[in-house]
Amino acid sequence: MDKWREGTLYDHIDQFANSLGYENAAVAISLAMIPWESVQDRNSFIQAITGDSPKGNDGRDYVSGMPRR
Amino acid sequence: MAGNQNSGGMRPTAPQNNPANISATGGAGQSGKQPSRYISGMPYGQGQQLMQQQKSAPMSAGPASPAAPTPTPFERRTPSGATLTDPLATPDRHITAGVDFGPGVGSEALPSNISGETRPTDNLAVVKKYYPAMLRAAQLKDAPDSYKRFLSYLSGQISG
Repeated sequence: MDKWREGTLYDHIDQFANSLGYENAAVAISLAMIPWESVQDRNSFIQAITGDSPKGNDGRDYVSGMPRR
Repeated sequence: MAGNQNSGGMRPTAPQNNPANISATGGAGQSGKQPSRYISGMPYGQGQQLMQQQKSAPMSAGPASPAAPTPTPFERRTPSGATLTDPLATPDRHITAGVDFGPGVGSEALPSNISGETRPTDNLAVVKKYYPAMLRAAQLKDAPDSYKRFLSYLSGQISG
């Protein structure tokens, strides 16, 4: 792996850590290790528990590159 | 004789000529019973004996059971029969009540034996375990700054 990719373990860590807060690092790492069936499933879960869209990837959407609402 | 000149004969588009309509395993017929099958490899004479036994007492076919699609994490049911997206049994309490993120009360609302002082130590152990691999990932092309900031925070936690 030579390039950062969406849907990888490290992308999951980025999304969970920045959505749940750095002080919840261990929870974020544990949640990132769940074999999420899709990025949409993961994002729906983050939305359900935080009430907000995922904050990883600098707060930008991977496809459009635009800031997430 | 008057008649439709197109009637009769072999039609290439007829269902029986469609290879997709032919069972690869020979099919089980429409009788509602399991077909008799010859079992090879038996000692001489026993194969024929088994065939006769199967014909004399055919087993009924089981109910048709189409393969159920694999449920997504949001469709899987808990032992109580609920799914992750079902409405809460306590609608006045948010799903994140008791944890330190999201709406609702934080961990200060938990009983003292749950919010013990061991958590920071446990957290640090998890972080230390995975930090080296996470650090390598930060050097990947296009690694987002949000991830690098997180690692910078972890670095401070580990060294502090």
